[in-house]
Amino acid sequence: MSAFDLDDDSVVVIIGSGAGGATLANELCQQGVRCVLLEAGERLTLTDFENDEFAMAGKLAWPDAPEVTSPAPLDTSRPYVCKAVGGTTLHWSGIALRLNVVERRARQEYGTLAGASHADWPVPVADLDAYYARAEDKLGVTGTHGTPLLPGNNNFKVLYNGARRIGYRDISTGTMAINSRARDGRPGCVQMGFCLQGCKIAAKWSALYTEIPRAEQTGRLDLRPGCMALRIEHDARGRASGVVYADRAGRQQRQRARVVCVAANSVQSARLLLNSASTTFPQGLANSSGEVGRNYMTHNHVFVMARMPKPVHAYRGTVQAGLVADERPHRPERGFAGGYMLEQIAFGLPLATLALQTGSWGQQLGEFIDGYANIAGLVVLGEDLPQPDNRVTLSRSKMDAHGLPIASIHRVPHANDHAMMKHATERASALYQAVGAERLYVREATGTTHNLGTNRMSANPRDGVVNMWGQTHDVPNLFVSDGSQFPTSGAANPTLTIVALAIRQADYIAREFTARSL
Amino acid sequence: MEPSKRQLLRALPLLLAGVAASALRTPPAQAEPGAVAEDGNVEALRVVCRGLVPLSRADEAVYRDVVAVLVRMGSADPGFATYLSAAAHSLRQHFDGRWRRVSSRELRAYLDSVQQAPFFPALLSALTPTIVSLPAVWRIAGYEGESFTKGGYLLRGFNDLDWLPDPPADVMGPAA
Repeated sequence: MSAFDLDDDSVVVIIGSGAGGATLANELCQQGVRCVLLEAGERLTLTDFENDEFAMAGKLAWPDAPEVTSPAPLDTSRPYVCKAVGGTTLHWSGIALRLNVVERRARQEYGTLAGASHADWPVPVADLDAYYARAEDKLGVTGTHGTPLLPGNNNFKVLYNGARRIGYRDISTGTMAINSRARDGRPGCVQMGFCLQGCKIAAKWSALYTEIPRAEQTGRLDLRPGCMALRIEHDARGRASGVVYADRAGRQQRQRARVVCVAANSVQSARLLLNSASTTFPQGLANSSGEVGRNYMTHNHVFVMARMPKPVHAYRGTVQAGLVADERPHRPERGFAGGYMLEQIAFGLPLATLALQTGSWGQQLGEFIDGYANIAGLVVLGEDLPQPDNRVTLSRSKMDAHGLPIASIHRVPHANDHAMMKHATERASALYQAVGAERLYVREATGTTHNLGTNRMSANPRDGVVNMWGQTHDVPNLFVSDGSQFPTSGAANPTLTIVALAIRQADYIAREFTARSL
Repeated sequence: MEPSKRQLLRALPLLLAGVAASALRTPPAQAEPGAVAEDGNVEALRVVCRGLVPLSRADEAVYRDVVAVLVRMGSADPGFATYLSAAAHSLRQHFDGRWRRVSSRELRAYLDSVQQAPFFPALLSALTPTIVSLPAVWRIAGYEGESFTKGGYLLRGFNDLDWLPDPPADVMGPAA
């Protein structure tokens, strides 16, 4: 463990230690670059992980909810991120999907859609594909690089048979960043369940026990848990000069920097840039385009669960290792642009009841609990079209403990989102009915862990916040290193793409350092 | 096993959603005061809880346990205690002296009629997470909970479903 001086202006300061920030830090450290990694949360160990959904929510969840101004029924929307070293890689389910080429060329492929602001990714297809391959190798993704697929659990058996009976063919236990056999110093999966509560045996990839310790072993990482970034400062030339943060004791510190990288998840990353406004940058840092905070995306999520005629015990084993990709391709004849995945999911009894039965009582609730063991389930994950006014802004009235405005979120689904979710709900229902479902439980989710957009990439500085390297158009030594860079969400869980972009960005920064152009 | 309201509110986004946030938001305490421990109130709460969450395979002990937890929550939260008292009083008042002997149909009709009462959402939003956290209810529901100390479910039935054909080997890996 290294400790660099606050006045050391030769370091790269990275804000956030999740999939983007931790990967970037490790890749930079491996290439000889010294990094300070600021993380608002604390460092947990595997001992802290519990097979308990409520207890882990208390340990992982970012406790300060942003303000939500979306109209009802979205007023219950609560974006979720983890506040801990390793960030949301503690919570993710391990689904490791690439965005497909059509999703990366959404503007060309989908054309103009009223009210939507979808844009093409400026990163060349082959370039990103090469980094996807590196990311898959790093994460040990099943079904890639000769790594075997995970076995199917009971929930998968129901999913597979239902999917086949309604004519689907692209079904498997999926590309998962969960060891199907011991690899990389971590054991193979023992079908424990509780993937979303922190994998207690570390079979699932998380930055907490891969990227972070490896970066520390180089002697070039100064990880500072319990440190909340408050604002990024710049010098007279308009270059980022350092980061002001509150340390664990609440004292404000100023870390000087050669380069600053923001990887605090879409909501907090946009908020930080907006809270870093100055007389030179009155709209917020890197925001001459006015695009910071805009084009906020999640994914279109619907839970479709079914009570089957016989026991399933869906909670046993890998929570999400079961994917159906037949509806993912863009086929506008279905009445919407983009596509969706069907991804198996199961919750323990407490969380399943809250997820699907909040507000219900009497016979309906009693029957749900009585029939819990027979429930199979999936979640729809559909592409969310970005819109300029779906955005993160600063609250006008609410401040955090440091006196800074909290984030305010506004998101209204596009007509395309409604059409897609209706189609997906019908197909997922048919899937379970084809294998004898006795009762369906459908709940549209109004929020998600997949916060994307808000600092999007663009070829033209007018259209976005960062270029194809994640480098802000306005401030050359300021980077964005998380999912807020995404111009489109695709129908893919975002972590693999965040990791691929972080490796690519590290290569770029290291090259620029060598060339002395940063 | 007793999740605090704060823990629950923080748990909700873990659903990938936040679907339940509004339902868990307890309205401000307005109910008339009254001691939960008053004779018969605890028993009345058991009747109400069985009406709210009727489990076909649960014996009276489940409702005794869940009410005990709710009463403990009430002793730590006077606002919540007033809701508990209000719920008990309401039942007793409605059925007069025969509240111990109401049929499930009568109970359902009564609960339907008091859904707008402030105690109703307060009680339901505390009762639901509490009852599904009871080990006895896990056994009834067929939920086995934590598996870390038992080596996971790899050798304990993660793929024991036998009423559908097994998927072919090319769509999944071997169970090591």
